[in-house]
Amino acid sequence: MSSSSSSKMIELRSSDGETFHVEETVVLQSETIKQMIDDDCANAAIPLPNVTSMTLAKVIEYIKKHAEKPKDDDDKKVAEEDLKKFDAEFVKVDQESMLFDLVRAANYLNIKSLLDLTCQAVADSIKDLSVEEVRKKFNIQNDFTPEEEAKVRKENAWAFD
Amino acid sequence: MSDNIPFEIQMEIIKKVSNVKSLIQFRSVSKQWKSFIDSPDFIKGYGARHTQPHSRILNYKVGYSSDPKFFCLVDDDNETFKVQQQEFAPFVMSPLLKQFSLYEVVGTCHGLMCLYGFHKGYKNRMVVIWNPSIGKSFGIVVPSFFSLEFRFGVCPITRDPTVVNILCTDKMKPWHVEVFTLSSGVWNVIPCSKLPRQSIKLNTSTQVVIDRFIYWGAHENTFTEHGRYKKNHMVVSFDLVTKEFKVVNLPDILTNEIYSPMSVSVCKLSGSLVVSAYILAEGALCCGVWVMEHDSSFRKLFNIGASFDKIFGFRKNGEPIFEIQHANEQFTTLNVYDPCSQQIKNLSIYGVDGSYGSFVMGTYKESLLLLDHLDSQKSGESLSFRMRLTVALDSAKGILYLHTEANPPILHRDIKTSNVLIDSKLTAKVADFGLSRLAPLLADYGVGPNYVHTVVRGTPGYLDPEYLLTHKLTHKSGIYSLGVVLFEILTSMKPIHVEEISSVSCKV
Repeated sequence: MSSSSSSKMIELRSSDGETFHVEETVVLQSETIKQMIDDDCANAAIPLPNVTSMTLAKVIEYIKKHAEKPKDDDDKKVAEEDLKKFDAEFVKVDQESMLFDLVRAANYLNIKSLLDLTCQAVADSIKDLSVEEVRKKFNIQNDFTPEEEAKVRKENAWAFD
Repeated sequence: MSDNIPFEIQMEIIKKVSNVKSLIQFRSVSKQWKSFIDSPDFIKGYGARHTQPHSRILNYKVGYSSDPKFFCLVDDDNETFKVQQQEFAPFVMSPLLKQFSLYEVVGTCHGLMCLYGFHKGYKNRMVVIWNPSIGKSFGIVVPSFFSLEFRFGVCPITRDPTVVNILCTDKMKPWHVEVFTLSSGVWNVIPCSKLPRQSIKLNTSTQVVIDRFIYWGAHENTFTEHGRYKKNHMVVSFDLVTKEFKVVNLPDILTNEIYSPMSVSVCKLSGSLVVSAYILAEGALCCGVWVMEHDSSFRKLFNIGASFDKIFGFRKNGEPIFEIQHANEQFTTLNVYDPCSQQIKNLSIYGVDGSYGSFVMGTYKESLLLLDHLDSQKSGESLSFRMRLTVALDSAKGILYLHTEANPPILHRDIKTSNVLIDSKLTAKVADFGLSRLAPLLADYGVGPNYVHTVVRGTPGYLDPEYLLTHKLTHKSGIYSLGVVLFEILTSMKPIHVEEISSVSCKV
């Protein structure tokens, strides 16, 4: 029966041991979990060792919102606008690390729309940063020698004014 | 969380950075970031993006012998454009452009501008492709010295900048067309069978690029039944993908209206071709404007009651932009037309007062095209045979050293032209040992195998087919790749170039 299958609950367990119950239809947005369900590995709680409960709660909030289906065309337009607003608010997180956690979780759970949304938010947040700030943010080691770096910068000196 | 964002996600983030200037800065974050941003796939994938708010690039001259001026106009839906005049940002002039005199704009496409001019140093005519958002340009020596017409576009599929050089001034001779693509680096003659009939002549007016087509106005003189000359107006297109020309016939209802001795001009309105021309209305010349619909029919947009025939383009709000020359005045003004009120408004942009007819306007978009090209100063300067020979010899010496003198010998595994670096004195050096392997020592010959068994690595086109099949790597593979490099140095052609396969094999 379609109604019973749509209400089937899937149990997810975060890295810190908290469990979440989410409808299967909602959780299918994650390709990773979909694969697990298809492979019949989802009878017990699905462990997500890379995702903390705080991040998982945010992710579930996102996929729940994105699982809502509009009733008709008029509703669809309203829903689209609503979803846009939701997305814009969703990435306004207090802590920067939270955004990175969401990026990682979206990547691990393979939720394309969430990965796109969060990557775009990160891209927007770094576009006015200096090179040093970007390195710090991503914890990237500067592997240029000072001479090499000066040369790369000199190639497009105008961009560093 | 302490763990870092993996590089594959960093790449996704870099792809979403919305402005070119930041990306140019981020090339110095790390070697990984630099090589990702510099990669042709990233540059092509980045495409050409509108600035926010939308901008237009405006070029004009004051007097015909002066250097052209460039402006960036910001279209933010106010009464008039904002002119970013003091600082040329987001423009970046390139050193190469400053060496030119008397140049004209051929066209803009995909964030690139194509100009035609005279190089003061080399004393010859050149076409320059300029990316104003990153200040890179590429000069192309023009093969012929006869009167020339150029058209410019970027293939939407391959993102390959393409210059079309047309000779069709002589009424008695058929067209002669050569096409330059940046990827091939050479001018290729288009076979006669693909050209329009020779009686068609080009209008020396602006072009416009829509999707894969470059459009421009043209005409053909025919005799009427009464033995009189008649000028038939039409639009000619060039397909950037198939490199074919097509004639777009204008319907009679349109051509009957056009004031025949003058010519038609083209521009675009949200992805549709727009044709404008002088028409006679109530005994006075005014400007008629038509738009081409999806079914290739034409619809009249409006007549603008002023004496001019060329529209530069449309503002974001749909108002056409044009110049009007004022009677007994030297200067011209830029104007827009409001179709609702039928009023002509002077844009009154302070400081913009060019000579009539010298204005060219294009959409300003940001793109990274040309980022992976050589230093702008040198590009376009084709190396002489002697210089090429030096480069070839140096490359060969470098590989000889690796194979025989280095201890232990090194098999480079990725010998290609982009790994041959040339310094300011034209000394060539083999670089990038990322895929290199140590070769079996010569002393071991006869004892162990004289090859290394490996997973096949390298660059298609330069890869030795034997190595590809057997996975056995010897110094001979390097010699094969060197051979391909020598071929490339000699012919200026890429080892793999899909369209030119036939011509390459001919040369081989």
